[in-house]
Formats: sequence, C-alpha cells, structure tokens
Amino acid sequence: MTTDADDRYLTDLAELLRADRMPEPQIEAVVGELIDHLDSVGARAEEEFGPLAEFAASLTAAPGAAAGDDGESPAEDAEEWRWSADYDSDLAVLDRYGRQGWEIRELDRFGRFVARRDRKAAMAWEYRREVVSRRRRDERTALLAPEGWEPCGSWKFVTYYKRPLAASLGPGAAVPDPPAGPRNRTYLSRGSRIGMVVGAISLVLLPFLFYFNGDDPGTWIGGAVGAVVGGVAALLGVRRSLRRDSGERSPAATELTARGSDGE
Amino acid sequence: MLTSLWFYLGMATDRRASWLKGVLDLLVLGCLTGGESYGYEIARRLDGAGLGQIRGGTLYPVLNRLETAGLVAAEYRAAERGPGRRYYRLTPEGEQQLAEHTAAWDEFHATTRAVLAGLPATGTKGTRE
Repeated sequence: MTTDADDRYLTDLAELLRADRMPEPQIEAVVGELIDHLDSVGARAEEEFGPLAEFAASLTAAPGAAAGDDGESPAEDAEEWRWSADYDSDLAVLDRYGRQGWEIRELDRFGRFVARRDRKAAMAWEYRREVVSRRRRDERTALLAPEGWEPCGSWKFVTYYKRPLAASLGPGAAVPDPPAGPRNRTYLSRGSRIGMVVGAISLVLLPFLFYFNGDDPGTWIGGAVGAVVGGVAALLGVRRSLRRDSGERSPAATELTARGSDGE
Repeated sequence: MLTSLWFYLGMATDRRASWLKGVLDLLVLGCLTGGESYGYEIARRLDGAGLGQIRGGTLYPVLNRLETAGLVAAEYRAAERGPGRRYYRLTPEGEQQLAEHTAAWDEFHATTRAVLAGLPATGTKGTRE
C-alpha cells in the first residue's frame, strides 16, 4: 500500500517524465509498474528508487546511457569540442589540450577532431600522428598497441593515435581542476594563412585578368604555370609538415609550444 | 517486477556493459593474481577472456582508483628499447579485497542463477528477495 509521500513522489515523477516528452501511455505503464513493485516489496518510494531527479533521468536515458564509462558513451558531465587544424598546428594543439583532459574520440566527416572531456574525471592524454596508407593502417595499429596507443581518427593517409598519460604517470595524470574549454575552433599556421590569402586574392583577380587579356596566350601560359607552381608548393609544404612530426617524437617535441593561430 | 520495467524501456541492450562496469575493478585485480602486469597486457587478457576490448580511457581510471585506494602498487620502469611501462602488482589489501569481493560475487551469481532458473532463492547480502 502506497503512502501519501509515495503518491507525491510518483506524481512528481510523472511530471518529470512528461516534461522529458515520454508518451503518456508509457508514463502510465511505468508508474503502474512502480506502484505494483512498492506494494510487493513494502518499501517507500524514495528509499527504493532514490532521489527523484536521478531516478527520472535514469528512466528517460537513451539506450547506451547506462554504460557510463564503457569508452563509448559520454559521461553525464562530458563536454564536447570540435575543431580543425592544419598539419603544422594539429599536434601542438593536441598536446596542449590533451594535457587539459581533452580526449579525441574521432575525426568527423569534415575532418574535424571530435574531442570530449569529463570535467569530474578528466585525465591527461598524449597523441601522435602516423602517415600510413589505408591498407597498412591495421598493421601500424597492431604495432603501436603494445605501447598503449589506440587509433582515434583517420583522414586520408593520416591516422592519429592517443594514449592516456596515466599509462606512465598513474594517478598523477588526473586533471583535478581542468581549465575552461577553448573557444577557438580553427588552428592554422602562418604559412597556411598566407596561402589562403594568396589563393583568395588569385580567385578574385584571375577572372578580371582573363576578361581583359583573355586573347593573349601569355596570360593563359602564365596562369597555368602559376597554378602548377602554387600546387606543387602547397604539396611540398604539406609533405614537409607531415614528415617533421609524424611518428615517434622526442619528449622535447611534445612541449606545449603551439604553432599557428591559437587565439586563446 | 522491475526487470520487466527495464525491458519495457528498452535498456536491456546495455546489460553487458553495465555488468562489466560493475566488476571491472574486480577483474583487473584478478588479472594481477599471477604476478605483476601492465595496462596493455591486462586489457589484452580481458579481451582474450571474451570480455571485449577495454579502452585505455576506461582501464586506466580503474587502475588509478585501485592504486589510490592502496589495492595495487605501481612502479614505472624505463625500457632500453621501446617505451617505459607502469607495472602493477597486488598489495596485501588488494588480495584481501579480491578474496572478499570474489566470494560476494559468487554468492550473488548463485542467487541470480537460482532466481532465473525458477528455483527458490536462498538470499544474498544486500539484495532484496
């Protein structure tokens, strides 16, 4: 037999479930089951089901939420941050924010890093980048696994790996009071920014150039040569950046000296 | 009766993850009964036992909690080749807690099996019949 306190608890629970858009027939069924359960065990609602808000949240949680820290589901207090960077800046940003407890979960379809942090249980991470073809990716992952590296995202021929600093520091890798999350979402080096400005100016000027000098073969030849030279320079720049920091890095290389436009 | 409620809400799909979450610390302690070990080896052993891949983001917080509680002792050793590793071993307190909690788990498991098989349950500490 339920008491007045139980009735209040269940009425308030129904309100919370309703506010969370649980369908009315489902609310009735849930409350009915709970009343039957209380009657059968002879317990009071609050002592049996716990604090009202928490119990309501557990009833409306999406499938998967119960898994908690199974490595797939975000913690209740988790923050998420998506950002992108060029190959000159990515590792510096990963190093800096990995030590503030940001864990990369994946690269999304736009190539952005999807980072997550549980402020109540933040733990420092370290990262590395490998240039490896898709065919050899599993082989490289298996090679790095005994060192504790796990893949956390791939984009074309680049794969990123993460490792908890707790693997070497133990409890010392905890980040008990993490700083506020960053606001910046794009990190570009000086070279990338100059390249983008030059590209944008070219896109604006070229139509005018061809409009007024389109019948001059020299304009077309100059444009083609410029495009080839620009493309090769961009490719060489990307290759240089990838060669410089990919694979095993010295401890000095992982010092927190971010290159590029951090903006923090 | 509550069991049907959980089924009703579609939460049963996460049972296995929830079970693992509840006993992962015990399983990690169990992996150390044969001697010291390190994170990757523990994860590989649990995976090999059929418990699935335990990611570093899940395993190391458990190891940290066990270390902070004094149930395991850890030592970082640099390697001549390759990375250094943090090795964990059971402390006497860890051995004692493992024995106690293993007995409690066995009792809980026996009761659960009896109930699921439709047999009269004999009762388990901390659970409602």
